[in-house]
Amino acid sequence: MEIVVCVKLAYDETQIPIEGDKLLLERAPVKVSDIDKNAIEEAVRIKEKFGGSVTIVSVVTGPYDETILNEALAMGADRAFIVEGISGTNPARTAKAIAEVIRKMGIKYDLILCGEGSSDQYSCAVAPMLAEYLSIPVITFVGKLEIERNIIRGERLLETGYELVETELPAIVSVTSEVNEPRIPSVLQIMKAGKKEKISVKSSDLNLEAPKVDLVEVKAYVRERLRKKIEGGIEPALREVISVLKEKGVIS
Amino acid sequence: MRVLLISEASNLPKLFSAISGLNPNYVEAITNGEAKVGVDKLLIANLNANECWVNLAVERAEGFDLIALPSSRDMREVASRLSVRIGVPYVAGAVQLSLKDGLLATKLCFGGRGLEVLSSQLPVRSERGSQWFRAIFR
Repeated sequence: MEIVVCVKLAYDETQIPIEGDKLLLERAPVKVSDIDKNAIEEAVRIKEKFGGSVTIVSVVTGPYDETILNEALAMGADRAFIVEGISGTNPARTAKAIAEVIRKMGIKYDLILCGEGSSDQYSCAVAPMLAEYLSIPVITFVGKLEIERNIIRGERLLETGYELVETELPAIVSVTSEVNEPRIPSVLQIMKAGKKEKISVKSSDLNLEAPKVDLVEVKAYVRERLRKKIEGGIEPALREVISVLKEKGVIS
Repeated sequence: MRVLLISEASNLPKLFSAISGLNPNYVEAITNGEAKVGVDKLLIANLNANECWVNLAVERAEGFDLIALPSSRDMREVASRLSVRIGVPYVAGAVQLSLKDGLLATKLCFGGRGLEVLSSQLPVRSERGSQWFRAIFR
């Protein structure tokens, strides 16, 4: 089973310094996006069961830290393709870049795994967009996965319950954090992973034509509280609360 | 501005309300059941698999400036695939929209600690949503 895992190096959203309404992204560390670790874990488990290989494809849109990618390789992936030189956050361009790398570098795949969404942007768009670019089926938001010969079954976790979906391989699956518990590689494994094959691909060598969205600005989300004090008896106070909630559009 | 709404019937009234602030001239909706909304045209179809939603949306998308969908997991998939299929921009998870030399969409990011303001020329698809809604605009 040849498996490709799409991995994003995301800003660690818990460690972004904020000054006023500015996010100091240049001082924020990067990490393997949380749910992408579940995707890697699932890929490695499938490889352990069926044999084959796990290839990571990472499109770097922010800072690139090789040691962070080594952590992903240390979980059990065999090699990584890294596309650098793409700025901004446009899931269509990321999906197009992954599709282009797979085609241009001749990466074989039976299954492509993605996290449902990145921990910093959470657009949840790359897996379905990649499916469109590669013209293969996609099963999104999968919390449980089974493979039998060339059939893959996914239990999709939806707001109203779950849905069991199956399709033929090759296919793309986006997994949720419920799918497994990612292993934590040891320092020694991470050091050894430094020797695994890492292939850089220039973004200028790829056709990245995709629908365009421009980033105008990024700022901190400053929550402003209403600070309205309501006094009086319980009934008039409740009427006042309801009135304020209606006025602010919280209830209709 | 002509707006196409694509939504499960249960989410349609909130989605309609979310785009009303843009003062569209014409609103058409594709849905899968009876819904009480003040749109100009309502198409009710027997839509189950996401592929059916995408195919019908592709057929109807021509001539709209904006396509809006709610942020349910199914609709996120439909929006993403539709955006590639018809080759127009997509903004996921917008919480605020305005029209100023094109479309400005604000979305929450970095685990709710940040806001991104994105712009795209009209006609363009993008996405509108509160925590409940996403949409794409054309």
